[in-house]
Formats: sequence, structure tokens, C-alpha cells
Amino acid sequence: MYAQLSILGRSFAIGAAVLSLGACANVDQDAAFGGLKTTLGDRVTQDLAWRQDAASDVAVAAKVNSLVANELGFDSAVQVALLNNRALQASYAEIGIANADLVQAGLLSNPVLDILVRPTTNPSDGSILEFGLAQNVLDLFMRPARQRVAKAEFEKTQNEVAAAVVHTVGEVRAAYVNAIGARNALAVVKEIALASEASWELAQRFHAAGNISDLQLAEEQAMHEDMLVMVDEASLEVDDTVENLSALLNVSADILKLSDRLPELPPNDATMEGAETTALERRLELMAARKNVSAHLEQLKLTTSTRLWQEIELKLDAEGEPDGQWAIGPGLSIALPLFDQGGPAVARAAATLLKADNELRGLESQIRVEVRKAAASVSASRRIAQRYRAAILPLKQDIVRLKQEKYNFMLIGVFDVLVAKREETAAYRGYVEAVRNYWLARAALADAMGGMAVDTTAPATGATP
Amino acid sequence: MNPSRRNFFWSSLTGMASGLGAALIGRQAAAQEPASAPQAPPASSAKGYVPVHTLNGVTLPFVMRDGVKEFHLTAEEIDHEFAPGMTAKCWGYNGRTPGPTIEAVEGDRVRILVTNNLPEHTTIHWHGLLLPSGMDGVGGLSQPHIQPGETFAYEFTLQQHGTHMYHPHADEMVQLAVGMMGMFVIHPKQPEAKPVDRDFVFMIHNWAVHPGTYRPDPSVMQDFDVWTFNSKAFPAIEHLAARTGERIRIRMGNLSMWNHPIHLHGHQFVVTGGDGGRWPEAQWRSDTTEIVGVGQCRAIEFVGIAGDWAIHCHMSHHTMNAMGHEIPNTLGVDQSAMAQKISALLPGYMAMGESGMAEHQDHSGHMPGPKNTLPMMMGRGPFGNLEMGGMFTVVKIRDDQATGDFSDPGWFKNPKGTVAYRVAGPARSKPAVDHSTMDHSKMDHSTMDHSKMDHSKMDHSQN
Repeated sequence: MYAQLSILGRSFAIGAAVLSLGACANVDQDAAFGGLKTTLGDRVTQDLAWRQDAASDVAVAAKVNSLVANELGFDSAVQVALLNNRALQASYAEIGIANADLVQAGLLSNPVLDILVRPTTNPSDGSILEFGLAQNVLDLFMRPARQRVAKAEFEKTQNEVAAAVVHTVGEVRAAYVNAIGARNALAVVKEIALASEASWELAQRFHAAGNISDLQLAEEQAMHEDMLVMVDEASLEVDDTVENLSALLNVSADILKLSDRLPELPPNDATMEGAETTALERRLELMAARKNVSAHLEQLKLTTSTRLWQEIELKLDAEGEPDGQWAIGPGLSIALPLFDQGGPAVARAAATLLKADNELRGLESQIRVEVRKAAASVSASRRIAQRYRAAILPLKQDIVRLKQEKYNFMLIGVFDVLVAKREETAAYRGYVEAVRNYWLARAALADAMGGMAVDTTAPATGATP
Repeated sequence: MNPSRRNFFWSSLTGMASGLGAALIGRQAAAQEPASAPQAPPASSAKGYVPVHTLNGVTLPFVMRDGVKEFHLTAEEIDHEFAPGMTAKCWGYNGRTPGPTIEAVEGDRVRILVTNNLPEHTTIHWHGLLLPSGMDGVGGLSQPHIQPGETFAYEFTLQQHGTHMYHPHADEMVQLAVGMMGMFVIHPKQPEAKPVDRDFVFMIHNWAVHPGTYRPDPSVMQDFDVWTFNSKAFPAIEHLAARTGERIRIRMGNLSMWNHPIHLHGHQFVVTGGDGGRWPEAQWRSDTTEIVGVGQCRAIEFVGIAGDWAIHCHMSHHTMNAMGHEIPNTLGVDQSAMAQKISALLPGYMAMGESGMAEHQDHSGHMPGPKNTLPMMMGRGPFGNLEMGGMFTVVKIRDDQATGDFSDPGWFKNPKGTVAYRVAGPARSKPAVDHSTMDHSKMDHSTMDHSKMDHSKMDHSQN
């Protein structure tokens, strides 16, 4: 009897422990999302918001509205996207899922209570009562390992979502640069068309006076019509790029207020010394991939340690006789590894680990290439923009001035001067393109560097010269 | 080698060199003395002929050496000014283009030393002269080329009189295009039956100094930028001053690429000769325009009538400075409504030419043009703009111009009632040109004001 009671006592102790484990079952999603901010560190300085209910929707909408009420800057565009981009909200939810999974992994499977009422052969003798309480103890022993897997999975997800945030920032910056660049180019192309329009109107006057032929008139008009096509094309490019930006911000293109001047180049770029190493330290996908490897390693360990014994149950049975006597005794049930000895499960886990490891290594070399390409693109587009600025634009201006001097001395006609003006403006368009390419390369480099704080020189919108 | 021996060696070498040099330099120095030096060509009375007056030029001095008149020409690159505001790297003789006029008398024995300081070989052909074949100056045919650094001597006896020229016959196309030429005047041994009181001479030439450049382009065949008398363009061409009633001769030689109909206002001249000397009087013919063909010389003579008389090539583009020949014709094109629009694109732009090109002369005073380029139209007279350039100058005949005085007497004072006068008016206003859009702050008034240049005050003695 004593022995029986002590077993009962131990069972209660186990039950209490199980209950105490159950007390951890509270899922704190806000804390999990807060961890995302910590993971991002200095990679993104703007605010994040996970919109989980109508109240937060309203609050965010107010903030977004006040941001888009003004001309959109580089930073405010990013801020709007971080608050409003639905794909980001979807990835924030991934953190919630992973967090729930993590909590889930800490839970034990519930104990199973069997109750059996068995009548005796003689009904007057009453019934025999049987209670059985079974708990999967393997589950209990494997809990820490399972939690390690879930934690790695959660961290992997957190890093993946953080990487998605960084990439969204990069996409927004690129889309912003493309939109402003397209608007800038349109303004320039319109100016080219002004020159061709002036030329065409003048040609009509020369023609009306009988001084130029139908041929020359047709040539002037054809030139101008070509320019008008260029204006239409540039205009379409604006619509396209602004829509792309609008999609990322989840704000209607109609209400976006955008500058039509690209920012100037900053005086210099950060050194690229050790950039690849820095990128390998900072890229969040890489961290996610490393966590993925850890998760699969833990999974492999778990799978290996449970390969034979997949189910071990401890039981406590109590039988109440009609005479009020209770017989209490422990039980054990084990799945015997006769047919499935866990071999395939281990092999699967090992292969999955191998896959994760190779994905990690592949990602490392891909990141190195991304950094090198982006760095080369930054320095080349800077050189090109500077050549435009320092040489080509002043030269084209000189050419217009010198042609105008020739015009003043009746050495050439005004049409030639207008052609030079058109060419000067066309060169300016080349410059705008070069500046746009520079900022695109900067966005790509920041992205490749894992949202580097390198980009503290992120431009305020301002005038190109 | 010990020091003393080395010194001796070097001093003897340098001694030899300086001896040679002195001989050469002495000769050259003597040859280049100014016209006022004792051995320079004397005034008319002393030699029995009236010395020629080369417009904007000089006569080459000579030294008498053993009864031979010895001249010295040095071919070299020079900086030549076509008119204030325009210079170019040209080639010429003794620092100028055209080279100094060689003047001598029929029967003279002449020796002409030619030193080549050019970067390439040269020769001199004595155009129109009767001389031994080996003195004719055709490189490769008559003689070996004169290499850079070499000095050659030409020596022959003058067997004729007349108006002649000299020029290279080696890389001739290039060397002529960059200014190598000169006049060679031979006076008759016997005084002329009908003597002249003044004898002017100049060379007609054309140049491709493209606007904004500083060197004549030898590849051009027809569209020249600068048209010159004696390598000067109007308004820098010297005026021809003379006294009323004087018999005046003008000798012209043409080494350009065009024939030039030279027209003199206010006189009927007679064409009296050319390379072939002064023709017998029976062959003289009366005219007012004489075509001086390429490679030809012509002399015209007339008795001066008081006044300011234009003398110019009658090819009207030849009395313009540089201009575009492919420019759109603006005549009659109303551009007024466009001015604002184009000025917005081209600050400083001004619509021009609707009513003609005369306005250009005023614009060129305040609108900047290409460097080293003369405005198309220039010159200002007592009544306004002359709107001329290139081959144009003025014969100024005055009752009180002293004998032998070639200085500019200023503008003619027309006797009362002899100037064309207005009988109806007032003048209509020209089509409005919108000057308001012009950015006057960008205009350089300091360098381009040639149109208002008072050429009567120009010092023609400088070249």
C-alpha cells in the first residue's frame, strides 16, 4: 500500500511539473516582433509597425497620410513602406507563426486519462472502476532538443523577415530613384522638345517667306515629331516608375508628391576595403541560413536520438474493486523498433542538413559577388556622372556659346545653334541618367552590404545642377 | 687635351664661326636697312623715276656690290595682322606678307639672295621676267630646292620694264596660300613719255583663315574667309592719297585663286600695261573696271579728281569679311514672335536679317563673335556705316595734298550742294527687332568694336 501511495505521489509530482510547463504556454507576439527590431539593429533606422488589428491600422494610416502629405523624400518613402507595405506585413506574420511554433515546441503532449467502468458478473456486486493515466515520457525527455530546433527555426525566420525588411528598403530606394530619375529625364526631354519646337516654328516662318524648301520644312518637322515621341516615351517611363513606387508604398500614385530633380552626388563614397567581410557579417539572409543549418543540425540530433524509441509511455493504472479496494500500479508501453528503426528519418535529416549547409555556402559566394558588382557599379557610375559634370556639360555649353558667336557674325544660321542647344540638353539627359545610375548602384550596394549604415549619406532630395 | 690647348682649339673654332657669321649677318643687316638709309631707293628726281608706293608695305632696300644691285629676301614664318582684331601665322619675306616690293630699273644687274628660314624647302620664281632658264626658280626644273637654312643667290640682268611679281615655285599651292608673294617693279631705262606723279602698287590675295583659327588653310579652293589688298582687309587697307590733277598709276598683281574685277569710282582710267610693261599709248583703253586675272598684273592710270572714291573688287562677296555661305536666308522672315521663345533657350540671342544684313554691322559691335574673326561688315565714314570688308579701300584726292605726301587727309569736305539729299520722308521704321531679350551684360564691348573704328586715324606705317 505504501509503495502504491508513493507511486501515486510521484505521479502527482510529475503532473505538477507538467502543469508548471504548461504555464509557459502564453504566446507573446509583441515581444517576438520587438526582437525583429533588435535583429535589424542599425540596418534600418525607421519605425516598424506590425498591424495586427483595426486599431493599429487606423494609427498607421494616420501616420502614412501625414508622411505622404508632403513631398516624399528618400527616408519618408522608406518609412511609408515599412508601415504600409502588405508583403512586409505578411512577413511580420511569419514571425508570429514561428513564435507560436516555438512556444508549441515547449509544450508536452497532454497526458491521456482512461476511465473504464466494468460491470462484475454479478450485478449486485457493483462495478469495477478502472483509471489509467498515460504520459508520453519520451516527449518529455526530448523537449529540450525539440525546443532547440524550434528556437533555431524561430531565429531563422526572424532573420529572414529582417532581411526582407532590408530588401524592401532597398527596393523602395531603387523605385524612388527610378521615379525621380524618370521625372527628371522627362523635364529635360521636354526642354529638348522646346528647342525642336522653336526650330520647327522658325522653319515655318522661313518657309512662309519663301526662303526654305518643302524638303527643309519636312526635315524640321520630322525632327520635332521625333522629339515629341521622346516626350511621350519619357512620360510613360514616369508613369511606370511612379506606379512601381506606389505599389511598394501601398499608396495611390495620384497622391504621391515627388520631386523632379535627382539629388546630387555626395562628395565621396565610403571605402570598399573589407566590404565583403563586412557584408558577410551583416547580411541577414546569411544569418538566417546559418540558423537554418543549426536547426537542421538539431533536428538531425533529435531524429538520431529518437530513431529507435519513438514512443515510450509511462502509465499509472488504478482499479477500484466493488468492495472499495483500490489496486494501483504503474505501467509502461513502448513501440518496439522492429520494422521502423528510424533509418530513413535520419537519412532525410542528414540530407536536409547537407542541403542547408550548401545553401549557406552558396549564399556566401553570391553575397561576395553582389558586393563587388555593386561597388564597381558605384564607382563607375560616379566616374561617368563626374565626367558629364566636369567635362561634357561644360563643353556642350561652350559649343552652344561658340556657335552663338558664329551666329552673331552670320557664319551659321540659328537652326545650327538650336541643334547645338538640343545636343547640350541631350547631354544633360545623359547626365541625369548617370546620376540615377549612381543612386541605383548605391541602393544596390547598401542592400548587398546588408542595409549598411554605410549609407548615412543617403540623399536629401535636392537639385541636380 | 690640356686646358690651354682646348681653349686655343675652341677659340679658333668660334673665331672661324664668328667670321663667317659676320660676313653673312653684315650683308643681311645692310640689306635690311630702312628706306631712309643712304643706299635705299632715292626720291624720284635722283633716279629719273617715281618710286612706287606699296600699300601698307615697303620697298626692299639693296646694296651696290661691284655694280650689282644686291637684294636679300628671307623666307620665314611671321605673325601677320589682317586688320586689328585678326592675326594669323603666315609665311612671308623679311617679316611681312606680301614681301617687300623689289624695285629696279631696266638694264640693272640684280643679285637676289634668298635665305630659307621656313620649315620646308622653297624657291623663288620671278614671275614675268626675262632671264636665264636656270634663274626662273621652278624647284626641280630650273634649280635644286632651297633647303631650310640654305641661302641661294639669283642673279640676272633686267631686260624689260613693267609690273611683275615673285613667289615660290616649290610646294606652291601651300606657300602661296600662306602668303609668300611680292611685287617686282621694273622702271624703264628711258623716262616715260607721259610720266606719272604717283605710282601705287598692291597685291590681290585671298585667305582661308576660318573663323576662330590662326593659320591660313591651304586646302581651300574657293570659299575664302579673307579678301585682301596687300594682305590687309578693309578697313585696315591704306587709303590712296593724291592731289587733284596728278597723274596717278595703280599697279596690281593677282596671286589669289579668283579673278578680280577692280572698279574705281568717279574716274575713267586707262589700262596702260601689266607684266608686259607699259603698252604703247595706242593700246591703252579706257575703262572703269579692270579684271585682274589670276597670275596677271595690271596697271591703270588716271588724273585725280577731288573727292573720296571707292576702289574695290566688284565681286560683292569679296568686299565682305568672313561670312557663312550656307546660312539660312533670313530676308523677309518675320522672327519677332519667336524672339522671346528662342531667347529663353539661348540667352543673348537676337533675331537678325529680316530686312537685310546691314544691321549686322551695328550688332557686331556689341554681340560677341568668334575669336580672331573680323565682322562681316565694317568701316564707318562721315555719313555712317560703310558695310564693307575685304577688298575695299578709298582713293582720297585733295586739292592740297602735298607732292610725295601719302598721309591720310581725312574725309572729303564736299562742296555745298554736292551731296545727295533727302526730298521726302520721314524714314519708315524697320520691322521691330526685340532687343529687350538680349543680355547685354554678357557682351564684350572692349574687343569687338571694329565697326566704329575710325580708319582715317589708323597708322598704316605699322605692319
